[in-house]
Formats: sequence, structure tokens, C-alpha cells
Amino acid sequence: MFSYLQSQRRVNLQLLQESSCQQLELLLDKLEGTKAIILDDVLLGPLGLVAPPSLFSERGIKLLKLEKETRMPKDYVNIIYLVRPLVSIMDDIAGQVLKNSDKNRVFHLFFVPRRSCLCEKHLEQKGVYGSFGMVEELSWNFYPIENDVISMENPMAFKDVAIDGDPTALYQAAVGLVQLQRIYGRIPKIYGKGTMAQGVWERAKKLGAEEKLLSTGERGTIDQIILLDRQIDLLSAFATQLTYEGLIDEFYGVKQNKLTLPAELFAKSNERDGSPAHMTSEKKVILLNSGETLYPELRNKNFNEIGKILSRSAKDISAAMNASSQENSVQEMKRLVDKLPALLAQKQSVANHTTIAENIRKQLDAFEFTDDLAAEQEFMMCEDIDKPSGYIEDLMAKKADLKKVLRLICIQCAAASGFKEKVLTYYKRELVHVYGIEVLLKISNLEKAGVLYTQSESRAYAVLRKTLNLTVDEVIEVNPKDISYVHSFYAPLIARIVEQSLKPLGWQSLKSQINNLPGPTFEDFQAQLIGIGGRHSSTPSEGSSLNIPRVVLVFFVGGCTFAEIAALRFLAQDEDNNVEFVIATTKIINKNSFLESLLQ
Amino acid sequence: MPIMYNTGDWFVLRPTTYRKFDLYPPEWPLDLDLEYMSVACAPYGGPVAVTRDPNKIVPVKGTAKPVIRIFDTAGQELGKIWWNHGRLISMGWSDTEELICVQEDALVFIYDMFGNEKESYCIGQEASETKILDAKIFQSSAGTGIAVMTTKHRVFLKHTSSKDFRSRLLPEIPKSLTDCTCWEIVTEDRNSYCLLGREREVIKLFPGESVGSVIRNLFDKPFERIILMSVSYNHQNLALYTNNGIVWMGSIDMKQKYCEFDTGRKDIPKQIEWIMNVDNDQSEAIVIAYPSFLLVVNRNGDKNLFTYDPAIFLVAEMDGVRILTNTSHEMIQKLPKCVQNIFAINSQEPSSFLFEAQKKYQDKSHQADEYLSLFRDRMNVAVDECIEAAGYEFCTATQKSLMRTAYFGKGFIPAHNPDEYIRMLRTLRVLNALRHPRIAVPLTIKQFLYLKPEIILARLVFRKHYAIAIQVAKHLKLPESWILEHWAYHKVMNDRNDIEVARKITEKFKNPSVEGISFCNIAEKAHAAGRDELAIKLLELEPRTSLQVPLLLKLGKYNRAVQSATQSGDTELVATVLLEIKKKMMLTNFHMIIREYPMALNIYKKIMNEWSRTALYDIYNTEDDHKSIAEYHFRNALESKSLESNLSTIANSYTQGRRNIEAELCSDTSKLMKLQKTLNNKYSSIYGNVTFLGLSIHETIEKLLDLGEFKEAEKIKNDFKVPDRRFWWLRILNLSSKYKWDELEKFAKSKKSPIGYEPFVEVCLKQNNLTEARKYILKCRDDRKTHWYIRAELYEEAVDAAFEQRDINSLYVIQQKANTLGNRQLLDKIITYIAMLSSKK
Repeated sequence: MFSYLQSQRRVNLQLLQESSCQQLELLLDKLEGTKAIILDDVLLGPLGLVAPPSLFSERGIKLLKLEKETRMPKDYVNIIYLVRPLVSIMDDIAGQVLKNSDKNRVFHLFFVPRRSCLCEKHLEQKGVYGSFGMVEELSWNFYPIENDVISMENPMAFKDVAIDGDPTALYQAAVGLVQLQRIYGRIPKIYGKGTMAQGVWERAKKLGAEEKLLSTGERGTIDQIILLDRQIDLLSAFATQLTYEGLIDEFYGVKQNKLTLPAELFAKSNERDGSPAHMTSEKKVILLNSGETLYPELRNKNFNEIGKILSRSAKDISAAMNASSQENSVQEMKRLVDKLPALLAQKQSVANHTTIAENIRKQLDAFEFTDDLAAEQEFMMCEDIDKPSGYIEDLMAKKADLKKVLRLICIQCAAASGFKEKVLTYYKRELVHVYGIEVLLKISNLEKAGVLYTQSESRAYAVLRKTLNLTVDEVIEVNPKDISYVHSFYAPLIARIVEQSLKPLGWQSLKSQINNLPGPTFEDFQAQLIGIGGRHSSTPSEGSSLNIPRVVLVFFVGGCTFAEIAALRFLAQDEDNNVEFVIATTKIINKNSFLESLLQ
Repeated sequence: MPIMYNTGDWFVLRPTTYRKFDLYPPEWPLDLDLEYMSVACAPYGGPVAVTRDPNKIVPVKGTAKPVIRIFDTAGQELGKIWWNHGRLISMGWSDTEELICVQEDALVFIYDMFGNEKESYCIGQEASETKILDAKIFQSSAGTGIAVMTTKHRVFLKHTSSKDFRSRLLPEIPKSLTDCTCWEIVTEDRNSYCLLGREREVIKLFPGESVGSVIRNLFDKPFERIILMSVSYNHQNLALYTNNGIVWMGSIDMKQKYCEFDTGRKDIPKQIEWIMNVDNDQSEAIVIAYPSFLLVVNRNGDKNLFTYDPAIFLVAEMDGVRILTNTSHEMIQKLPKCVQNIFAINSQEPSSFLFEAQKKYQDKSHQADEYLSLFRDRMNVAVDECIEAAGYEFCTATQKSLMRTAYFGKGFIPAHNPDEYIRMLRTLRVLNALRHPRIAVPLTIKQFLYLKPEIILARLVFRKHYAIAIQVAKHLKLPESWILEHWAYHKVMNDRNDIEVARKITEKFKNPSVEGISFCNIAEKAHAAGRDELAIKLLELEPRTSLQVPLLLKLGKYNRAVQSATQSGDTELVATVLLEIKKKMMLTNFHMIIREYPMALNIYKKIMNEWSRTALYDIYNTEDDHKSIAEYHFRNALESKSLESNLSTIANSYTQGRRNIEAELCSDTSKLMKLQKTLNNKYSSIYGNVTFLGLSIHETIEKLLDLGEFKEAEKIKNDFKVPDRRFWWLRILNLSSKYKWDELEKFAKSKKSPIGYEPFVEVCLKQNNLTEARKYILKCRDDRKTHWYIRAELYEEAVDAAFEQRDINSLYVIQQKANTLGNRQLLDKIITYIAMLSSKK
């Protein structure tokens, strides 16, 4: 089930999955009698990341979706609500409990990731709190979504903190970090940048101090953590990703490793079954993770390289098939038969990805896309960023999609490190003229989030573009030498910062350079533990001399894009860096989902 | 073989040897004479409660009011109870060292060893009404129990530890003319029953049976009545004593008789106790205490006699009997086998030889080797026995020499495992500390191991011997922080100086070896003791802010509670605090507090956004957050679809919040809405069903253009300062959508376009009018022409334009397109151009 989590990596994220799963098992096994779980819709995906379906089937547990009017299953003694701690959900639950109370039925409530007094109060007010047998919490803060990526699956984290000033997500992240340290040992070195990042670390430190377990185990497997704020690099969040995985996410949306596509896209290619793709009535669901045949190779590549890889694999397969058909000895036949399932899977995989790639290519070639991209890239190059952009004006005049317009404005603002007062006022007026007065509320959100703002003295982006080579002159998309390939010629700032920090004394020299970015720069140190079983010392020089890769946990507080993940994976592949990354994020975002989260 | 050491304490009751040795002389206060007292002693070296025996005639000294005094075994007074209840019938100690006092009306009072009353309850109404004759405090598997016998000769049992306060009534005693003379409670497995002596018979009252069973004919010798009975510590053996001095010893079920022994004495014994064996759970002898001498008798009828001054009290222990008198504190014990092996006269055991060898060795005598040669092959046994024997000794000198012997002996054993040796050293050190008269808990090693170090630590702590408790904990490698915590509780309860207490506590707690100590727990105690100031001081010392919160709330320190909650960074905690204190405070005060903590304020806003929007408004108001007020009205207006009437309010708030552009846009919109109404009226009559409501300025102009009302559109454009650029866009989009190509051209030529001519191309292409598009491409900037030709799919022209511009990249792009189209001619052209361009470079 979680084969994609298995790897030869130093940090085995399967442990995280197992520990989360165990929490649930423990709670479930406390209850006697038949069980049915009524599941908050949003939790369906995350649940699948930690608990295999067999967990429920073995115990005969029925899973249902929480709706306004969920039909209560008969003959189940225990009804378990597995929900997020949201007051709105409590209303639905209260209604159902009132309607369906029965002597032979016990209700239970499991909160993910934390119980909430607000919710419990709310249930009390509705007069149903007493009907619950167990009220528990499943402290699931990080979900392993890949063998090197963990996510809190909280799309609202950035919005909650930046706009509402509600640091719950930071606290949960801190709890998550403590949980990680419980599994993988204490992390000795801490670097970070940004207010939210610091918020996470301060909380984690406090919580960790109370944690006895952390101080008893031997040295951990994670050598260092870098916490970075989404706030310091909004440009990359709004930028169009040009990696295969990034584009899939932007066009179709990847949810917890699952890609759902309309089935008609596959009308022709869908000949064989027994592939990792399942057909549902009109949708086709494809699992996208490192367990898939071709995907690990494709996902992090620039889209322009995808065609080549696909055609090469197609050739490989037909070569393998043909070669075997010519040599007909019994051994050959047997070898072929052995290889056949793998070959077929590969064939199916090539077929799927070719279909997806074709569809993406079609959309990439549309002028709408290329024009947007051109405008975006001009901003990245700091061209004409101090006055209202003609391209954006034209878009507004044509009443283009509001989100698209806002996104480009946000990019411009990020590249200019803030608008001149006049420009911002002009944009506001134009937006209201075209899209109506309601747009003011959306703009207000963006302002609160610090995405739209008026110029400060420093032009952080313009400076960093030079000092950190954020944009490169030579575009190499195929077999690239630099992480800038993920946006064709632009290297995401956070990935660059991480890259720099890997160098000897990297963080020290970075400190002055990133000083102009918003939020504090901080570093910290947790006492190394006198573990007899401890491994090598964590200083980079010694680490590399022993040739064991350092493990660096990079935490994107506020979300990261697939392009950024691709950039970090690219860095890890470089043997000179001798590093293994574990990427943590509040949620994997893309230009659309990030903007949407802010506008809500 | 060795004739020395403590064998002088030994006496023989054939076939076994016993010993009687001094613990330490008690130093009773001068005004205490045990002779006139009734005494209750707790086992395991526990405290002693003493009160005047009302049945004895006493010279009255001081007050006549009954007093219960509590001492430790060394005679140190621990506490005093001024008994101002009814007539005290009986007292005894529970297994948790609590003093249980039973009163005539069946009321039970429970005190700790310092004489502080802990609780009181009644055994039962019936017992209370009929009054009680006697009460016994007994130990059972379910804890300590109380048995009372009423004046109606009914027996009630009650366990003190059990939560339910019901008592159990034992069956009735078979009717007879005479009363019972003695009784005891026996526990067997989970049941407790009562044995009574009446005349010549023993009556057994077993719970659940309707009436007691009578056992007769136990004695061979004649007698009149049983006057005393005693049950052994393990409830296995029974001893009966008759009026004419005959002792019957047998098993508890009275089916087995060990012996019948005639003491030949006429005086009435005060107490009989069984001496439990040290080595096993058996008992072979009893001690009978007469007013001034002690008789020890074993199953074989062998006896030994000791004379004492009057007043002897026996305390049965699990491995012997302690004897407490006015001047001495002694213990009678069956001699442990290992001790006997070593020290018995003419002992031939290896341990004895080893002991001797060691002595010779110390005297530097060659005889040491001779002794050793006697038992070399059994060195293991010898060493083990010495270690074991050391544990049984109370005399430190003997302990030392035994341990030294073991040390000497283990040198001869290759690969000796020293664990037991080390453990014994540790244990002895602790035992000696406990036996010191200042601590006065004379435990044997068997008792020590039975009680477990944790319980002993708890007892030390309860006796407020904190220092020694910590040392013991350290020595035995047990957690010690809880002892400090107890010490701190004690300080909190007894030291009245807040600052001093806080200082002392921090000083002690600073020690880094003390882990996991909670200031909050201590603060909680301080609060319970009504010392809130101190509680707050202590809370300030708690590093984990989240733990402070519940108590701060309890203390009513709301401001501090919010502060601590926000510092913890835990939003859930903040929410809990906010909900809690909002209930208890005036709203204005509440606002005042949370204003100071931005995080708390944000959380509050978030909660109120879901619960009560008006509360949200209040908080914005107190904060003078006009922008938020504006948005608050704005959202409400949108939801209630009453934007128009609210726009002026919203605009006002924006102005107050210095959001000028927003305010201006609101008034613009308000103006627009009025205008739209007039437009509606005006054009509905002309065009029928048209509405402008809800449209933006841009859309309004668009609609007017659509209707052909160009003048009106232009007027709005001017009124609302719509930029030319956008207006042009509107015009050309409008014209192209209606295929008015001539007019479009006219418009293009009317004056120089502020948006250039690319939009013209774009709109033409959108309507698939290539001819028109071509016209405008020509007007575009040269460097953009290629782009638009490509978009128009006019590749021939595109190639030429690209060539002119030497735009090799575009040529590649076109090449790709041409490839897919399969246009050979074009491809050739492109290849030539590319070749030309690259050669020129």
C-alpha cells in the first residue's frame, strides 16, 4: 500500500506513516462491537496517506462520507465521526446525533489533528455532547506523501496566519516537528528565515523542552532543519511552474498523490486494465507517486524534456517486446513471461503519460498561456515593473479572468518588492471599474497577507536576483545544470537559499544577503546528545569525508510548489552536495490554489 | 565454632534457637508511665498511640481530659489528640499508618500520625444505637478493617479502604446465658470472620451463615473458660488461654492441635502474640505477656521466662515480636538459619569457617589458610551466607565484620557476581539510617523488602524526614523530585512568609538533577491553602507557561492567564481561556485585557466571526479599526443584498481609516448605482427589457456601446475618468463583435491609437477575419509583426517578417509549425533564411 514510501534513504518516512496509523488503530481497538466511521470529506485524502484500506476491511469497519444528511448505517454499535475541528461540521454532527440517538448506538468523536474546546462547547450548546462515548484526537500533523516529502495538508495555513493572525497552523507545525523528532531523533541545527518560520521554531523548542523522550534517545538521523517562510518568496508561489509535475498540478490539480482526469481524454489509449489507474464512471484516477513506473523519472523534469523521455521509453518497450519475439528459445520465452507484467505496466504508464503530456502541450501552445508566461517572465526580469503593466491593463480591458489578473499583479508586486502608491491606487481603481466594488474585499485580503503592498526602501528581489542569480541568461531545459530549469530560467528563491546554505559557511554568508527579506533571520542549536550509538558528527566537512549524506529537513512554512520540490531534488542528486533532503510543507501549492486560499 | 558476638541474646526452645535483642532504649517523656496506659502500636516500626486506660486507677496528673499521645518508637512525641468526643473504646493503626479510634456510639475517627483529624464516619446505625462493647482493628487482604461488637452481641465488620461505607453484619451468636470473654477477627483469603471465646467453647461467626458454629472439646485438661485468644500475624495459627493458665496452640481451623501447655500460673496474661519465623511463613512459638514477666512457649511445650518491670506491650511483626516497655524496646525472633550457621557454638558450616579464617587473616595468622582449606569447594555457600546474615543483624559492627568476611571470601571465587553483595551494602546503609533513633523506624530486612523502598520513602516523607528521604532515594537510584515536591508542599502549608517560601523553593528546585518538578502543582496547593499571593509567585517560576493557565484562571488572574496562554503559542489554550474569562468579566474589561495581546485578539475575532458578528463590531470599535469596520459593513451589506443603502456608511468608515481610494471608489459606485437607475428608466422605454443594475462601470459602458448609445457611454467614461486605453478596447471589442469592420477601420484612423494596433489584430483574429487582421498587422511595430503573422497563421508573411527582423528564433518556431503542416515549399524557404541568417552572424 505504501510501497512508495520505501526507499534506501536515511530517513524512512514509512515510520511516520506507521506511527500515525498506529494511533488510529489504538483508538479503534479500544471500542468494542461493530464500527462505522463517518468521515469528513476533506480528510478522505489524508486518511489514505496513513491508513491502508485493509485497516478498515480487516476490522469490518464501514466508511461513510459526512454529509448534511448522512444515512446512519444500521446494525453498527459504534458510530465514529472522524473530522477536523470546525464549528460548521459540529452543526451537522449535532443534527445527526439528535435525529439518530438510539440505545444500542454509541457515538464517538475523533478530531484531526487536535480536539478543540470551541467545537466541544458548541456540541454542549446543542445539547449532544453527552451522547459521545469517546472524544479523542488523532494528532496527525505531518502526512508522508512521498519518500522525501511530508505535508500538513493544510491549504489554509498561510492565509490563517498572514490574514487572520491565527497561528494555529504554526502550533500544529511545531507539534509535528516534535513528533518527527520523537521518531527520528533530535535535530541539532536549526536555521530559519521569516516570522512564521520563527513562530514555528519557538513553539517547537518550547514543546521539545517538555519532551523527555527527546533527550534520552541517541543521536537522530536528521542533521539540520531549515525553516523558511513562504512570505519571503511569494514570487515563486505565483509563478507558473514548468516542470511536468508542476504543470499537471496547475492544470488538473493533484490531490494527495491522486490525479483525477475526465475519462474521455483516455478514450483511445485505454485498452488494457490491470494498471494503477482505475476507471470510475466518467473519471479516471491515476496515482502519481514514486511507486509508478515512469513518474519518478518524469515528474521533476522540465516539460520540454518530457517528450523525449516518453518516446525513448516507448522505443525501449517495443524493442524489448520485439527482441523477445525473435528469439524463441524456451529460456527466452520464460524470461519474457517473467518480464511481461513489468513491461505491460510500463507500457500502460507510457500511454497514460503520453496522453497527459499531449493534453498539457495543447494548453501550453495556446496563445493565452504563452502571453501570460511572457508577461510573468518579464516581471521576473524586472522589466517595466514600476508602472502599471500594459499587458495587465489589456487583460482587464478584455475582462479577463479576475484571478489571472490578480495573480499577475501579485507577481509584479513581488518582483518590484512593492508598488508605488500611485500604481497600486491605479490598479485598485481599474479593478473596481471592471470587476465591481466587491473586488475591494479581495484586494484587502491580499494586502493583509502582505502580497500586495507599497514599496519599502529596499528592493529585495532586484538585489537578490543579482546576488543569488535568481534568473540566468542561458536557458537550459534539457539536461540542466542549474535549478533554474524548473521555471525555464528562474530559480525559486527558497531553493537558492537552501543551495547556498549547503556550502561551507553557507548560512553565515547568506545571512547578510537575505537580511532585506521580511522577517527575522535566526539560527539555533539543540545540545547534541551523548549517545553511544551516535553516528558521525554533523559538521559538513566531517560528514562529507565519511561520505554519508547529510540529512536536511527543509520546511516551507506556508506551502511549496512542485517546482521547488523538483529544484531541491535536483540539488540532492548533485553528488558534490552530498545531501539528502526531507521536504516538509504545510501544503503543496500552485499559483492557482495559493491565490484561491488567499481570496477566501 | 566462634564463641563470641551476640550469642548472649540467644535462647533455646528445643529444638530451635531464638534471640531477644535490644533495638534502642526509648526515651519516653517523664510524665508518661505505660503502666496506666492503653497502648496501640503500628507494625513495621510504626508510631505508637498512648492513652490513659480508663479501667485502671491512676494518679491524675494535669488535666483530666482524655488525651491520645502519639510517639515514634524512640519515644519522640509526634502529636497529641485532645479527645473531646464520646467514650473511646478502642484504637489501632491502619496499614497506611493512620490512627483509627472507635467510640462507644460506633463513630470512627481517623487521624494521621501527627494527630490531625482526617475523616470520621459511623459504622452503622444499628451499632450506633445499641452502643458498642468492644472494637478490634484488624488487617486483611483488602486493607485495614474495623470490627465492633455491640451491647446486643452483634458483630459488624467494616473495611476502611473500601469506598462504600456499608458495614457487614456477622451471623448471630448462638444463645447462651453467659457472655463472651474474648474475641478475634480472622482473615482467610477474601473473607474475614470472627472467633469468640465463651465458657469452654469457641464460636465461629462466618459471614453469610445464618448462625455461628460452635466448636467444643478442644482441651484435654479441665478448665472453666477461655479468657484470651490470639491469632498469628499470618492468620494461620490460634492460641487460647484459659482461666487456669492452660495454653492451647493449634491451627486456625482448630482441626489440628500443636500442644496444650500448662503455665501453672494464676495471674491473667495481658497479651499473647505468635512469633513468626524469619525464614518462612510459619510460626512455632508464642510470647505471653504477664504484668511483669514474659513467657515464651513453643509447640513442643518448651519455655523460657524473662522478668520485666510492669507494663509490657507486644507488637507482632511479620518476622518476630517487638516488646515495648517503659525502659526498653526489644525484639524476639527465631534465629535465622544463616546467622546460626555462622555464630553457633561449634558450628561446622563453611560460613563459620570463613568467618574465622577472615579473623585470623586480619590477625596476620597463618591459621587463616588452615580454616580456608576446610571448605574451599563450598566458598560460594559461605560467602552467600555471610551476606545474607549481615542483612539480619541490627548491630552495625556485626554487619561490618560479616560483610568484610564476604568480601574476603569472594576473592577466592573466580568470576564472582557481586550484584548481591552490592545490593546488600546499599540496603544495609538504608536500614541503618532508618533504625537510627532520630528516624526511629526499626525495620528488619524482611520487612524492608516486603514494604518496598517506594513505600518506605513515602513514609519517610510523611514523617517529614525530607533530607534522609532524598539521600535514600539517591542511594537506591529512585526518583527524588517528588520528595522535593512534598517538601515544598510542607513549606507552603507551614511557612507563613511568602517571599521566603518562594525563595527557598526556587533554591532547591534550581538543582538541575531535579527533573520534572512542577511549580504548578505546588502553586495549586498554595491556592488550596488560601495563599493566592504565594501561588502566583510560584506560578511565575513555572517555565511551561501552558501549565500556569488553569490555576491562573482559578485564581482570577485573567490578565496573566491570557498572557501565559499567548506565550505558550497554543491557540487552543488561548481560545479556552478567552471563552472562560469572557463569561466572568465585564465586556469592557475583557476588551481591555485582550487588546494587549494581539494573538488573543485575533483568535477572539476569529471565534466571534463564527459566533457573533456584533461582538466583532464591538471589538473593531474599541480598537478604532475603521478599515475593518468598513469591511464589516461591506460584508453585511453584500450578504443582505443592501449594498446601495450602505455604501455611504462604508465610504465613511474607509475615509476615517484613511483609505481614500477605497472611499472614493465607494462613492463612485454609489453614484453609478443612481445613474444606472436613471439609465434603466431611460432605455427600458426604448429598448424594452434592459437593466444596468449590478453592472460595473466597465460593464455599463460596454452595455451602452452595445445598445449603440455612444454619447451616453462617452459621458460615463468622462464622469468616472475611465482611461482612454480601456475605452478604446471597449470600442474595438464592441465593433468587432458586431462585425462592423468599416467602422472599426474608421475608428482606427480617427486618431492615433493609445493602445497601438495589436488589439485591432487580436479582435479581428478573434472573429476569424484574416483580411481585416492583415490590415492592422501592417500598422504594428515591426518587431511584433512576426508574432501576429504567426498567430494569424500567415506563415509566408511571418517568415518574411522574421527574416527582416533577423529573428532566427521565430524562424525556428515557424519551422516547427510548418513541419506539422507539411508545407515543403515553406520549409525550404525557412531553411534558406536560417542558413543566411546564421552565416551572417
